Amino acid sequence: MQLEIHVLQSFAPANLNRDENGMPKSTVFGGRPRARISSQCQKRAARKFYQENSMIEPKHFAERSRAWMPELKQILQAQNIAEVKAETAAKLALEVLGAKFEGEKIESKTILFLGKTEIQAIADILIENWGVIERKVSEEKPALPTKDPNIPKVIEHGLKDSFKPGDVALFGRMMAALPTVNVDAAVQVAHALSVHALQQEFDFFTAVDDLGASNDAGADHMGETGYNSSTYYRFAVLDTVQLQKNLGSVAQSILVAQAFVEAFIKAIPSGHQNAFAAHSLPALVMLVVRKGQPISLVDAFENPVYPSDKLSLLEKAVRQFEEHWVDLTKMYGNGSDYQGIVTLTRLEKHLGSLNGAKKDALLTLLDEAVAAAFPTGG
Amino acid sequence: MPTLLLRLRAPMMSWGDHSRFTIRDSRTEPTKSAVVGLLCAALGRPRWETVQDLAALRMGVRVNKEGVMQQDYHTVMDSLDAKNANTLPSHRYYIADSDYLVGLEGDQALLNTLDLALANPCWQLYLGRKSFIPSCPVRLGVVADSLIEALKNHPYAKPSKNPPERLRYVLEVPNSLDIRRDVPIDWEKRVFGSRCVETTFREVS
Repeated sequence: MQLEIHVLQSFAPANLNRDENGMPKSTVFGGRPRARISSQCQKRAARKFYQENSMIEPKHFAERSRAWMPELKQILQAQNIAEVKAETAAKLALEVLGAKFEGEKIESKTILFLGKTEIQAIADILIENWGVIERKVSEEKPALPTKDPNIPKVIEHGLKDSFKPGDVALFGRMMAALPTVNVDAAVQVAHALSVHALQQEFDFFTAVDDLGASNDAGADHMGETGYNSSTYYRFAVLDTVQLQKNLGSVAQSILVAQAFVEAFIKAIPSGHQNAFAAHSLPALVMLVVRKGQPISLVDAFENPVYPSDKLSLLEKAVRQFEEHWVDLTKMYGNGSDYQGIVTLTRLEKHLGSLNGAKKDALLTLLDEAVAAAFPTGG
Repeated sequence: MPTLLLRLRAPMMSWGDHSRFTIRDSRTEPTKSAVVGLLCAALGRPRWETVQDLAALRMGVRVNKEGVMQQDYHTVMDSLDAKNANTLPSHRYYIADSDYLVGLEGDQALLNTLDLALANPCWQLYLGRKSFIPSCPVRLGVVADSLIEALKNHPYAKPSKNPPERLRYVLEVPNSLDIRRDVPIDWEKRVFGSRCVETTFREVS
């Protein structure tokens, strides 16, 4: 099953996702410039959101880091393993996953995307086999034993066969050094595009020295910040079959799916928020569950939306959204197993044919959609 | 021989054929590796299986709409290392605002299997990168026409503003000076073979 999330959301002046020049990201669509929030920016915001807010225990999530060695070493030391040996063994174990260590540095050259449960699993393997490992890591050229048992293989199997941390199950993992432990992502997140033509603005600012130490009349610092106010169409889709394959248990899959969908809807990127505080929630959320190819509805906004005398930008955006949905279902058939929508009261009268799918609250919509996406139940 | 038709359309698409690591470029029309990869995803065929049968199909592209080359600036952060804030930047090119019709000519039975797979893809489909999600169904069906006829005959919706007089076609040919190294041989080892293509412009009928 594919669980599609469609969101319309407005942000007052903001610079949520910057390019290398510090300007808000943009692109071209329908022949007009558009504001853009990248896929990776939204994914990071969603990850941070559910790590803080979901009911799932923190240890079931994952982190990208170069600093796994000290974590692993600490677990080994807690088992009364001497520090030097613990460090050597930890480095060697992480090297199995493709980490490379230079000299005495404690950070690896490569970033590894791992969960705490996985680090614990590796530690357990090392501790269990410490009898054979201890001898080999104390030698002049330390290595992990490759015979009786073959520790690198045991670690590889341990990671491959264990169920994955939530983040890894959702967003996938690629380890070039050890392709057998790669995980295919269960989630696709599209770049958010503004439904209207982009108007990029510059905020010219000056800073004043509060203590007024110098006698100059001028400003003490001048600069410019790029920003824009935009209404975005955001889209993501969750493949529930892939998620279950990655996580193993249906119950855990339902929890992780719920956490992700809620996080994708509510999470707001943190970029430049101290200066703009653009914390606004979506005006419309539609969840669709279907088999077969998921479809982004971004083409609804190929013609950029303009406000008119009678209708606001959001009102017209909702109309274009509904017209496009009707058009697509007419051409290709509906084919969805579930469809539900929540929106602000003032936008309801523009929902047209989507009125039938209207729900009272996001929570109801979320529960219904997740239940429909996991028909076998948990 | 019959032809399988696909519509590749999304606000952002990427067709890299020789870049890795931090600078990733894109061509201005779909590569064969991207299209074969898409079919593998639809079939649920894993990376370690052969792609010979799919790579042998003759491919052609009609560019319904020429896009604009854009660049995305992408960084990877290190979440446990807050003090040093290690950040790896990468530059990823993509084609914005384009629309393609892709044809694959070959054996009827194979094309039918692929068409069926596209109706209910095993894995998620994407156009060059995981986040570039199609904005219309990819599946258009199998037609009896040869590659060039199929591409020419498929309806073309003229835009109301500035309709083009000609459309660009990029077709696989036995010999030419335009060589593309995008024929997948082994996904895991990243081995690619070459093919020749010819670009022509045809009046919009």
